[in-house]
Parts: sequence; structure tokens; C-alpha cells
Amino acid sequence: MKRLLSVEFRRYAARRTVRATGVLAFLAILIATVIVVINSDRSMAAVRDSARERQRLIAECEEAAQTHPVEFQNAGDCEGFFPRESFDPRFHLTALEDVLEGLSFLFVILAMGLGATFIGAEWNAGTVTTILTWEPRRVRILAAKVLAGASFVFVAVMTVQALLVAFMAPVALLRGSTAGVDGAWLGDVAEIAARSALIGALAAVIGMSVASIARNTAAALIVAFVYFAVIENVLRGVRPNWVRWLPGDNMALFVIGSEGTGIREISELRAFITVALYSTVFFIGALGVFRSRDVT
Amino acid sequence: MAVIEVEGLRKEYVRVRRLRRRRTLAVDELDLSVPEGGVFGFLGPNGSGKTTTIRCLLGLIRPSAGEVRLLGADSTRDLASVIRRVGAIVEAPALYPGFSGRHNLELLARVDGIGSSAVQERLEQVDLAERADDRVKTYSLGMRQRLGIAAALLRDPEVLILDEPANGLDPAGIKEVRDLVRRLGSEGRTVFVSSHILSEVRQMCDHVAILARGRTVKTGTVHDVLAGETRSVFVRVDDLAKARAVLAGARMVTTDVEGGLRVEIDPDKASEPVARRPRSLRIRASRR
Repeated sequence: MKRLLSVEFRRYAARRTVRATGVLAFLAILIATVIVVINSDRSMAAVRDSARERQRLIAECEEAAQTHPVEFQNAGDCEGFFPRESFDPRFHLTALEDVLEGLSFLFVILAMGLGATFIGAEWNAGTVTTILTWEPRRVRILAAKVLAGASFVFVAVMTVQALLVAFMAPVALLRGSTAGVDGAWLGDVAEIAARSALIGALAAVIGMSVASIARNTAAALIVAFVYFAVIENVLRGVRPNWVRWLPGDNMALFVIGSEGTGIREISELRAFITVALYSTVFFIGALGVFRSRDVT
Repeated sequence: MAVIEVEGLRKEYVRVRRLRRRRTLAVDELDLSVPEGGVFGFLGPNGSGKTTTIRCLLGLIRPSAGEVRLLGADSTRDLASVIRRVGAIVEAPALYPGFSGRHNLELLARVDGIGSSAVQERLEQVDLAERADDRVKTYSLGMRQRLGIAAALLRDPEVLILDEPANGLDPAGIKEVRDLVRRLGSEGRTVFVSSHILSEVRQMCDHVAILARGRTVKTGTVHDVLAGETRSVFVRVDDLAKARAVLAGARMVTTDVEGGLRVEIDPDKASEPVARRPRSLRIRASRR
């Protein structure tokens, strides 16, 4: 099993799709870093100008609230309309928490797509036949592929997030602000990154399982798209009570918490267990189909 | 001892098309016994059930009925216990096109803990060492076939199962594969090779089983089974007298038929050149 896992891991790492995705992710991080470098300004003059601009807008808002009391029922909200962070020209490293939470959705989609290509490409190239003439125990084969794929995605998502933090930290140090960055913050960021990677790995398991059942990458991607873009949205609208069971909502809840999603009825742990259960069901289904179907 | 034993093998495919279940009988009560050592030919026309039988042998598909044993192990249950002693190519060798030939072999070798020296050795054995680091998708069909054979040989197997290894190859490629198979068979391995070409089996194999419509119709040594088989080709030429003279010089038996000549060919020398065609003589040959 160890050897099979090592072979699969190496195969995934050598795939062009994986390398291209890695290069694109690196470029995206690089571009984001350049944009932040250009936009971030920690000079006192810039900070003062921005603060002054904010004060001016708040004053205008409060004045308008007094002259048009119907539209502005809560004049005190003016401070809230113009949040301090939005008028700070400095890049705050602490903002990365929100960035990572926002990126988790992208990671889930990429993980599912990569997972689907890992298995779909094997069927497309016919290499499933070749590997079965080396190791005929199908459960071991698929288990190794899925386990290696999920681990690969976990490591990849963690690496991308670590790179993002590694690129942004010097920018914050030199041109922005590291206020609020301490051990607790680092712990929070690590937790968000790990949760994203874990959900990515589970999404990859679903992608690989669907591709294994359909014996096709495209079929798996279409199923994922139709489910997440259409079915889940329809269910959310028609049956609001089902939200607690929908994979997409549970994934989001596990990564960004109940405050971010507005789902308060279920805990983050339960959300994770629900997603893990869905992945397991898909995986067991794929194992059953792979064991029983002819490889022609 | 028989290395491959098949008893009453039956395989029926069920496919659903336009909401209707369609059954296709690919193999019907097939019996087969392959002795140890040498090259065994599995001869039959396309669609006669050769690949289906091989897939059953390798556990890729489940038989509808019957028993299939490879090196004494039941292919549907205990294949894992003997698979290390078997090398196989089913139809065209399926390898990762984006990886190099060497990388493909290394990945397979790793599954069994085989070292990279064995990979290099096999690449040299099939004359692919020079192109080993090129991507498989840049290989010709013959090179892919040879790479597939190298993959099948990685484990130094006792039994080699090759499904139509010369399929789609040019004459030079066919000769290379044929020589390689003969060499492997003479090394003491059992080579089980399927083909739909009679002359190929005649030249490569020691034993043969002839398959038709999913059943074995004849089995035995190549000499016994294919004895008395003669082949002839119909040759249309623009200069009948000159052609007759050339062929007579090569001691070929010819008969005049309408529009050309019928030339009898000794099956054992079918692939050897018998005469040089004069430049001025234009020939069109066909089996008729």
C-alpha cells in the first residue's frame, strides 16, 4: 500500500495539469503582492489624509441625516458606513484572515476539479487496465489513488496559503502594518488554512469518486457544476430547512464559521462531520462500482 | 503443467441502448490449456473473443460462467497471489502519454519495488534506451508497443500475455516484435500471444489454439494444426511473361488465371523475399 501511495503521489506531482495549476497559483500570488505593494502606503501624511477624508465623509453623512431624517433614521450609523479599515492606506497583515476565508471557496472548486482529473485522466489514457495487471486488488488501487489524491490536495492547498502569507508578510512589514499580529493571530490563520485544506481534500475525494464512477473527468465536473450552481441553490430557496444538510453550506460553515455564513443552528464540528460523511458515501459508492464493473 | 487453464468460459456483455438491453455473447464455452514454456498462439479473427478471454484471465472482466486459472490461481479470486509472475499487454499498451517512457516504467517498477537498473535494462532490451526520456506521446506506434513489452517484462515474468502485439505496426516493426517474442519464448518463459494473422502465428508460435465465434475450434502444435495449409496470392501484372519468368527463376509455382497469375507460397517462407522485382514490372497482388 505504501508503494502504491508513493507511486500515486509522484504521478500526481508530475502531471502537467497540476504543474500548470501550481504555476498559475504562484503567478496569482505574485500579482497580488505587486498590487498590494503599489497600493499600500504607510507614510504619516497618507494615513492623515485618509483619516481626514473619512472624517469629512462622516460629517457630510451626519449633516444629511439631520436634513433628511426619514432616509437617515440612525445618524449614528454614519461611522459604520465608513469603516476605519477602508480608509487606511496601509496593508494590514491581519486582513489575510479574511482573504484566506474568501479563497477557501476557490480551493474547494479547484480541489474537486483536480481530483476529478486525477482519476478521469487514468480512464481516458486507459492506464487503469495497465495498473490492474500489476495490482489486481481493486479496493487497494482505488483507496491508494483517493488517499494519495486527498493528501496531495491537502498539501497543495496548505502550500499555496503558506506562500501567500510568506509573500504578504514582508509587504506588511515594509509598506503596511503588522498591528494585531501575534501568536493568537498566527494560530487563527493556521487554523483557517488547515480547515480550507481539509475541506479541499474532502472535495477532492468527492471529485475523484464521481470521476471513478463516471470513468470520465468531464462528467464529474458537469455533475459538480450542476449540483453546486443549480441544485443546491434551488434547494436552498425551496427548502430552507435543508440548509443544514447541504454540502456547500456545511463546507462554508466549517471554514468561515457561523458568523460568516449566518447558519447558527449547527456547529462547525457537525458541519465537518457532514461533509466527511458525504465524501465517505461517494468514496464507498466508487469502490463498489470499481470492484464490480468490468474494465473493458 | 498448464500455466493457463480455461474451462467452459462464457462471457456475455449486456449493454443498454435506446432503453433496450442488448446481449452480446463474446465467448461461448471456451476451453483452453496452455503448456509451460514456448510461445502459444491464440489465433482468431477480429471479434472472435481473444481479448475478452485475455481480460478474463487478467481479472479485468468477470466471466459469466466457467473457470479461468492463471498459474493455478483462480483469476476471479486469487489473481493477486500470482500476478507478480505475470506480465501483460491488453490491446494497445496504455501508458501516460505526457510522461517519458522511462518515467512510465519507473512508476510501474515502484509498485513492486523494482530498481531503476531493471528499467534501464528493459529499455535496452527493447531498443528504446535512446528515446527513453522523450514523452510517450511523441513515440511511434511501434515504439509504444515495444515500451508496453518492456513494461510487461519489468517483473521478469514467467508468463507473458501479449494481446495482438504486432497490431498496427509496419513490416519492420512486426519483424522486431516477432523476433522479440520468439527470443522471450526461447528463454524458458511462456508467451501467450493473440493474433488474427495466420502467418504471424505460424512464424512465432510453438502451439496454437484457433478461436472462432468465442469457441476453440482447434488446438495443438503449430505444425499439426496448420499442416497442409497453403496460401496463394493473385498477382496482376502488366507483363505476364516477364513475371512468369521471374517467379520461375525463384522456383515459385504459378498458374495462369484470368487477368494474372496465381502464385503458391510456402507458408514457412512467406515473409522471406523470393525474387527481386525488375523495375520495369508493375505488380498488384491480392488474396483471391
